[in-house]
Amino acid sequence: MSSEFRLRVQFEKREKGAWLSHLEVLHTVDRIVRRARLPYAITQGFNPHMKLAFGPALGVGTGSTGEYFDVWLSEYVKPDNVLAALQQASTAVLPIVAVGYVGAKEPSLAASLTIMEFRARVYALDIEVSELEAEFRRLQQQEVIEIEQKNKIKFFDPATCIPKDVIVSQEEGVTEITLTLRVSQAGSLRPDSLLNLALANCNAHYSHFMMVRTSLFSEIDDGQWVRPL
Amino acid sequence: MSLPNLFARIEPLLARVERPSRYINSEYGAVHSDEHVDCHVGFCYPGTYEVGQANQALQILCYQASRLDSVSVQRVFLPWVDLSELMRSHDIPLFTLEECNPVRDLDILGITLPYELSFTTILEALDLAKIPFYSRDRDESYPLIIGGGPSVYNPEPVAGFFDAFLVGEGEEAVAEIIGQYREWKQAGESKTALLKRLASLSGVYVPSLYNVSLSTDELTGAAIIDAVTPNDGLSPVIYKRVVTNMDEQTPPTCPVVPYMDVVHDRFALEVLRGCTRGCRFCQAGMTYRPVRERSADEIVKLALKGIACTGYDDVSLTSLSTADHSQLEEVLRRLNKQLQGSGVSVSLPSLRVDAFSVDMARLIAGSGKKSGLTFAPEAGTQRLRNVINKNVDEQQLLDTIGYAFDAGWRRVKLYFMIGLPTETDADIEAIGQLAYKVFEVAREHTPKGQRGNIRIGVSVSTFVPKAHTPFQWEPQNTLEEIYRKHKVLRDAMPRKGIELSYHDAEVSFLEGVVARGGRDLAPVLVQAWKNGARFDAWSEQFRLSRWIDAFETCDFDPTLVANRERSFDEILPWDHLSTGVSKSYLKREALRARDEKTTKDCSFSGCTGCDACDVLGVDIVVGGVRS
Repeated sequence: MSSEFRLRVQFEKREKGAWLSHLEVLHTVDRIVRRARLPYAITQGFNPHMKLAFGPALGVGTGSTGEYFDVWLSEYVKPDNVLAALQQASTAVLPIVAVGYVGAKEPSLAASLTIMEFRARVYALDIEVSELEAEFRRLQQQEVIEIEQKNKIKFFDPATCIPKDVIVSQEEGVTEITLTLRVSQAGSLRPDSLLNLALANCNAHYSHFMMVRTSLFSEIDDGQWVRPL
Repeated sequence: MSLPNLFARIEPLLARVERPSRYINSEYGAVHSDEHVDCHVGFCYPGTYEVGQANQALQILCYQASRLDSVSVQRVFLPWVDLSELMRSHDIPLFTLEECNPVRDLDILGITLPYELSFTTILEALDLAKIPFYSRDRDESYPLIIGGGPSVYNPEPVAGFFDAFLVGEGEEAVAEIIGQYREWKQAGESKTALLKRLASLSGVYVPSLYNVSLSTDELTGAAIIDAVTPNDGLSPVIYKRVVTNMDEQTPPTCPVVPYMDVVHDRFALEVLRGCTRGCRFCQAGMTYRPVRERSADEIVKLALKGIACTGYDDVSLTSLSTADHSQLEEVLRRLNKQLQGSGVSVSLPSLRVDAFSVDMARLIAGSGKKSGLTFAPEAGTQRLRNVINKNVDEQQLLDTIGYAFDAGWRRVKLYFMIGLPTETDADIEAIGQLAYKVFEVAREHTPKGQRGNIRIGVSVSTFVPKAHTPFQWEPQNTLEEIYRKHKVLRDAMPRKGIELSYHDAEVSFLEGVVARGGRDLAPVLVQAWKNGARFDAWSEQFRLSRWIDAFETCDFDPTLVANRERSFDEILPWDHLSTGVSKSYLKREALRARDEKTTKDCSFSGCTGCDACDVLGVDIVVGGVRS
């Protein structure tokens, strides 16, 4: 174990890549690392496989400008060389942005990345920005939000799950909404569910929306939010 | 000349469908053409992405065509029913994958015919693309529609829908076809002129230039072919195209790597083409002759290149009978050495029982994951195995199981067939007895603590007589008989240790109709499509009632095709297409089957006189010694 090097990689899930599922991204990253010919470490046991770990899953239809995975290498390779190799081995919809080594004892990405920022772009929305903004404020002021996710009714405490005010703006006919959500052990409030709830409460009509996760943060002891890389 | 891109209209629909990654392209290895294109070619697999993308022939043809200057090559797959419904309601036509261009705007559309029940899905593709079904209804403004693939050896049921077919192997022909098209386009000629140009190419069959005259048999009421008459100057028989040397054909070593899981999610490398074991039910064994091996050096080189380029963790050495490759042990030894410690494994598809030895077991075991082995004894008794010319005996099978379980395998799947010519209930009961013996041997060769992991799967299909085989004259068992035989099979299977599955008898019956149907089946296909038949290989989509209704509407008796025995003298719908194997050879084999006599494999022993090498001007290519 001590002879392995933990490399953290930042990548994007861009444009058409938004339509990949989390599992499809996992499998693709496995192949990207192989194509890059990195000296990856392999797990022991009955079914040896590449040692990879990912951050929180992203739903189908949601893109991202900041996703992360950790890969363990059996040899040290200069970050610049790793970055070049991974970029060559990847595709335009899953571009590799940055790499860096992290300590072996760092908590896992899945456990540590608890704050997520999203940007939704809603097309042909027929209500005013102010009305939608007011609805989000109203939801945030409730004690509990009741919301349907995956055919089940779930309850969320907005004070915990929505740590920042929702921002709504409009540009060239497209309504843009910035949502910041906190992951919880009991299950996460999905950004598309929250957006759908707000739009439904406003009786709004629209053509479609596109969701992008723009940032992921860990919360450290003093309440600060830090990026993983 | 650039074509419109439809993705902006498609994307808003993706949130409403299953598995949207089917439609997004941009995979690693995908080629997007530049602007200087004067010929737009599409290769269509009539099925969804996850089935079609794994098709090796599609990959080979796309690769060959993409090497031509100024040619745009794009893949076309069928959207699943959820998206096709939305496309129709939003007036979005079928689109190509790479550039999301309307398929209607392509110059050439090649469609593979992978199996008989894909024919109505081909109609679905044409309808979604807003292309008229029948060739006679399409002028020069529509794409040239060319068919090819495994079911092209009897294309007659769909002959009216295609402008031309390529019979045989396409690596060299694809450039010729595109070349003729481009010359035609520059010359500004009529469609008739294009079809004549194509008919002049070796291996290209233009059905509209061959007239089929029919009459009705007084005794049976069946439609009988009186003659197949070519237009002036055309050969009465079209011989398949064949590649003489596999080492001279470079396969794609950096193919598209899908994002989504596809049916065979690994780097597949064809190690040889053709199989002359001579199983009498097997169409592929007749149509892909002669045997041509890729050399060990080429296989190892291409496998390593493919793994490095794609990033797959599994390389599959594919062919009809990989274990027969004369240099396979050398290939496995070299690959195991090169791939050691990389986590990459080597897998082989269905193995012949008689080609699997102790050494082979160890080599395959050493090449990585032992997911499971598959063998195809096909029949339960030696008598019936002799009838079908499956030269495998029971002791060989049991020894093979022993080797496999000694080497650490715990899962084996056995393929059998029912409905074979001369079959009796005793033959079916013997499947159960054999499965039990396999289970016992597996237990004997497994340490006590691991016996709970043993899995013996028995998969039983229904015999479908196929064109260009010695059994092409045989009647298929009726549906009622198959249901009865299924019961015999179930009663004969051991109660524990064996997982039995069998193919849907109704699907097999339909395959039997389409596999030996003629041009008079075309209206039935159209009617079945109108009734909703598409994706019939997917069990949740298949409804026999759609077909029964189509047969009734068209006043077509399917039993006269599937369940009728043919005489040796009858002109068969596919007789004007040749695999190189002579009809007299097939007849000889049919008679030997009735006498329970076996025929050896010419790539192991001497020539058996099928005529394929002489007729096609090719030879067996074997690197080592087959034994």
